[in-house]
Amino acid sequence: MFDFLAYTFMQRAFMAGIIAAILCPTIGVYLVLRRLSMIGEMFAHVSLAGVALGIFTGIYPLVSALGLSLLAAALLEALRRTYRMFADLAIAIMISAGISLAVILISLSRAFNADLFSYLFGSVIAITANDLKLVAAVGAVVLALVILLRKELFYIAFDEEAARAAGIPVDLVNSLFVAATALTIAVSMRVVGILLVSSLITVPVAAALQVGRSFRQTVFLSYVYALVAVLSGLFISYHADLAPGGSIVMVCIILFVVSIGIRKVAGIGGRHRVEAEFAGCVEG
Amino acid sequence: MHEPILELSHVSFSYGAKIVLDDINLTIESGDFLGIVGPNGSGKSTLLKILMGLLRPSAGTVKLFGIERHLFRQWTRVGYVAQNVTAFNHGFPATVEEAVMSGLTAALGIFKRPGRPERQMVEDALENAGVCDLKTRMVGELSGGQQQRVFIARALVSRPQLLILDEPTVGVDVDAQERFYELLTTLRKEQGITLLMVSHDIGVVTEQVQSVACLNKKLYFHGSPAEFWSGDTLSRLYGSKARVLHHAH
Ligand SMILES: Nc1ncnc2c1ncn2[C@@H]1O[C@H](COP(=O)(O)OP(=O)(O)OP(=O)(O)O)[C@@H](O)[C@H]1O
Ligand SMILES: [Mg+2]
Repeated sequence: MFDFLAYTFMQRAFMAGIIAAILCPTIGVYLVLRRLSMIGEMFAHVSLAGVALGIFTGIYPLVSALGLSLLAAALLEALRRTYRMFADLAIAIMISAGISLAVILISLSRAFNADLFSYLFGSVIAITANDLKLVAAVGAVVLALVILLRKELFYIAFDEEAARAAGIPVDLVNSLFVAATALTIAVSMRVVGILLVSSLITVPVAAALQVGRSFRQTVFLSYVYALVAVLSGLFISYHADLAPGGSIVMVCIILFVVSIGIRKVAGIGGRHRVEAEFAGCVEG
Repeated sequence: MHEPILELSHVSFSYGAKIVLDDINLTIESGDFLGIVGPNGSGKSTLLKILMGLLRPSAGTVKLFGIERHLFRQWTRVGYVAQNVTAFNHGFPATVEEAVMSGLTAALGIFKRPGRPERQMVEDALENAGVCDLKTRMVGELSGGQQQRVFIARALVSRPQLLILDEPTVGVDVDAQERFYELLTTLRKEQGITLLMVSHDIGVVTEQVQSVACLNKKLYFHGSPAEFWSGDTLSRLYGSKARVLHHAH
């Protein structure tokens, strides 16, 4: 049943998948908690434009996707600083820019082919040794950065104004984080696919939020969910001959629904909150 | 001993064309407990944000601990609890301990992880704020008053010498308020913390503080509570309805 692991391409797919499963929730937990999930969608669209640019110009698509994503990260920061109150609008504009650029480039290069589809829906067979090297190197950088900044990221996600008042260099940390997000999506899309990569960023975190009883627990659970989803998704996709993006994200969704079930059964959340308020009154 | 901890000279601020603070001069000495009162929209929160470096004054200078605001870097010496602090994302999965620990982020710096001494500091801050028993609870699931105390604990955890509080007793019941003022007194007397507090509860505030500042775009009054009640500050500040407002409390 696990004989497929003898194939080098499957080994690569699993390695790249595991890297994505670690990176996506690492970034996702802060994006979701800051209600910035759409940034994931934005970088996915920009990555598509990057891939299209690669196909059009003959540059290695993963590299052009990484480059264009970083450029978009810088642009987003500039836009967000100019229109502080309209962060969501800045994101919407960048999504439009990304997708329209992608459509133009794809049309120009007449690239509606298997190569493009492997980027859109993810692929287990298309990941080259070079892809894996790049994914691993970029992944290591992103992971190191986020681990280094995790106290700061937590503080900013929880209470940005207080973090600022405490003297944390909030703008710098935010810029680094947006860049880390851009890189995460560009390297994760190879396995999961551009259309579904932002789901791997948000859904495992959303599921972990249902049952996590602390930040630590939530982060830990989101890793568990993402790994389970990627490993079983790749397994299913190999045996059923499906593009991996669909099965991976479908497993995420199932885990999310199960988590809601656990929450309901265990009575975590809503009811406790009312009790807490009541207890506060009596105590007070 | 009584060196100035905060000095504002000729501080003005405006949002666009709207002048919010006009030529404020105010000095707070170490060990003082200053209460700032004033009507809604009088610029109290704005003033605190300027002190905390969140807003830049359009004119004038601010000194903290004798250092000019834009050169000041020792933010761990200042604790701040904002007005809307309990309006955070209540679905955020942070325990009380995690939330309070975040108050040590700046003190730890980028490379250091919290260890035993930091956990002890969190313990002490929880104790001080009277929320030890809530340590492992999620902040979003606490009552408003409990949350308020958690954020006070977060402000206390880095052992600041100056504590700045923006309407900390809103939504806190009378009993808890009493305990809260006891806590402030202890902090001031035993740990020598200088306090700066905004409140609408003029009656209660003037009982608790050592000096009162009345703000409404300009600084109308700065002196002892006794002087405050003996003058006509209240009616100058709030207009003729001031009596009604006072009786309401
Ligand atoms: N972000 C902002 N943009 C524009 N104007 C603002 C902004 N924040 C506050 N103001 C204005 O500045 C003035 C002072 O506001 P501030 O929050 O300092 O008042 P306050 O004294 O704290 O009031 P309250 O008692 O209601 O808390 C108000 O008139 C308000 O409308
Ligand atoms: Mg205010």
